[in-house]
Amino acid sequence: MLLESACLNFAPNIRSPVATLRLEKGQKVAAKKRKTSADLLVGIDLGTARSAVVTSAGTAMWDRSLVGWPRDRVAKKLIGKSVVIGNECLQHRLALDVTRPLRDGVIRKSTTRDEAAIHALADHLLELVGADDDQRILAVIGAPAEASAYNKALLKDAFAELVDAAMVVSEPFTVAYGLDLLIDALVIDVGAGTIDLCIMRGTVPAAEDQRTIPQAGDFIDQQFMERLRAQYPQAQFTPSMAVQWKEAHAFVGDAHAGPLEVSMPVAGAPRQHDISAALRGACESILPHLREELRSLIAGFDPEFQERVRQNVLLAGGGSQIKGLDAAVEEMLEELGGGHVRVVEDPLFAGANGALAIAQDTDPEDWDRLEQAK
Amino acid sequence: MGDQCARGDLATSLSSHLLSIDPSLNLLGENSGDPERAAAQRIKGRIVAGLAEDNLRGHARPSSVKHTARCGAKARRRQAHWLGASGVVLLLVLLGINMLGKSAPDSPPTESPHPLLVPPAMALPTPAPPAEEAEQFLRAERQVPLAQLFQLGVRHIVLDPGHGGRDPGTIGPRTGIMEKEITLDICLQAAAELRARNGQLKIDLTRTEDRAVGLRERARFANERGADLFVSVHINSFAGGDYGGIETYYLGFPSDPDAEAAASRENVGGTARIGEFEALIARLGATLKEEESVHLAELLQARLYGGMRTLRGPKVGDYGVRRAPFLVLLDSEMPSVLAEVSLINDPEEEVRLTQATYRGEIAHQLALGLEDYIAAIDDAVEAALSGR
Repeated sequence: MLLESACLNFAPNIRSPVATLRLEKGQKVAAKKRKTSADLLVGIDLGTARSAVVTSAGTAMWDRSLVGWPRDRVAKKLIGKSVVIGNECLQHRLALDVTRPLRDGVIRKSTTRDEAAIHALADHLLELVGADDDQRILAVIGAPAEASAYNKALLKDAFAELVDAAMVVSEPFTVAYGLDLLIDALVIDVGAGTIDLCIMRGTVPAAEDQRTIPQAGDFIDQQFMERLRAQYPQAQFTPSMAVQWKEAHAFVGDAHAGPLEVSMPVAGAPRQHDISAALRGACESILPHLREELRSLIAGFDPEFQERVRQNVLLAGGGSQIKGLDAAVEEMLEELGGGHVRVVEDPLFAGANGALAIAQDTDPEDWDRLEQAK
Repeated sequence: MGDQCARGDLATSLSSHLLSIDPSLNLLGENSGDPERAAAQRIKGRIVAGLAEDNLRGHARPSSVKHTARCGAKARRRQAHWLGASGVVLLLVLLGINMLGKSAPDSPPTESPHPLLVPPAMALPTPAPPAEEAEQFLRAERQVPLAQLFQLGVRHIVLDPGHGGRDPGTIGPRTGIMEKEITLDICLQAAAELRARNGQLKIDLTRTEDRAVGLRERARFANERGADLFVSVHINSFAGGDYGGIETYYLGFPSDPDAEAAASRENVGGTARIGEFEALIARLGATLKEEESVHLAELLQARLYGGMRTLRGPKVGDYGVRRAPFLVLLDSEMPSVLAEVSLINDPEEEVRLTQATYRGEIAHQLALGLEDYIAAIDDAVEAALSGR
């Protein structure tokens, strides 16, 4: 399938969606502090575009954060479901009203349907990993760095009927925790809805340690399509096609040389078009915002340790796979005295793995208190 | 191009950092034989305990919002169920008026005690006098709000930022922030959010800058534009140690027994029948405004209180939906409410109100409340049209 292959090109480590996998030996993390064998610890990265979930039983799953409803009775009969979730929405997208339950990294809950969507997605994610009826499910859920208290509460609410206890934790922090990056480090989590920055001080990140930039993957999509329309006004393409091209080829700076040719019909006839300039321009449109917040965050850090932070920058999230982004961030750091940027190895699961690590390290008594407070 | 980073790559640097920051952590390692690992674990333990505390303290579930939303869904289903039945009742009322209007000249008033409601051909078992029936209909605790019964949608909302110009409203004693500034910003943010989410919705503000606008001028502004809803936004302030709470007001028209009796007496005459019909329609309009104002006030109050309680904890009070003769509501011709969305004499709240992001949260709740109202109307209409 074209879209799937695009995903694989974009992030070779991404596994097929909706496929139960065991983490490889060494990656599998045993439940160190499980109160009883009946507890299933779950780490969830609820993303705007994709959501990932891993468990203490070694299961790792992901799916697209999409929920769709059949447009009419015919569509419902054709699909055989009243609600469609995840990757399946793309297969039936012409017959569905598809929505993303999260927007700009936070829950959309303006209408009854929004509410139904987030509950359906939450239910779907936990169904994917499976849990025995007698198991207590204890979950840590990643939220955008600057998600409001209200939105964090909504996240908890979405999972309230599905888990026995839940904690909501800043997403970049979960990534950092999972990689033991707890001191003098900076995590830049480039998602679809937001770019989240979180500076690590060896404590729970405070509000001043975190920043959220609304110009992220979706913003790049929008910019890309506008540039394509301006460059090739006669060419026909859909948002879905643009996203596939972006996921396969996204780059900034000189990370890609030469043309990037794709096929777009013009008046019904297929024509090759070079999208490299439009794609580069779109991807680079997030850089000014990132530069500004990066500077502000590092400048606010203890001057004695700023050098350490600059040398300890981690790029995470699906956007970390934009070719040349790490070099671009290093270039930004040059203006502040130089630094070193690493790219997370497993962008899709890094947040969920970190959330699981937090779940495992949480004291059983704290889980009991969280369960009682629910 | 930077390198790839996996868990454990940085464990060594973490441990050395930890030890340099907190030498006491070495004490833990003396017994474990691996001081760096023990130090790292101890720091992680502290962080995770902090996260648990943070979740226990600050992220209470928005139970009131959830309750409202789910009750709202149930209520909507009930409304859909009853919609058809109530529609039939209204149809009978109006049909009766028309049919009797044609036959009345030949029928002495005394011959039929219930001329408006029960034409001869319609043998309803216990007919009631038309005016009485109409009043019962208007006064009934119906499952279907009139706006839904008549399938009235919301396309145009007027938001009214309280005070302005030389009238600052209440002034925060600690920060000097003025009510007129807060209400304007909340309304601007709510309008932007509503416009962004619903391109078909027209939002007007009675003022978009710091200027004085008369109370009746505000209502006239909404009337002249044919707005469907009018929401006046204010900040509460209470004397003494009472920090008050969130409350939403509506203005209702009290029933008038004398007018009811007069209408009943006049039902028998032809002209009176037309008058009765007009009176019914007029009263229907008044009832619609009151009924929908209450409905809107309830949904706004649920969102505002639910959202603020989540943010501020149990300290915030729920003063509920109340009725009062606010001038700004008196002249408006559409469902209208006055929302006291926060309180300025709570010292902590006053400081929060100086922050645009916090005002944005209030605006968000206001927008959600309005969208709840619109969704309730739209859902019921959709359900009725689809025969559910």
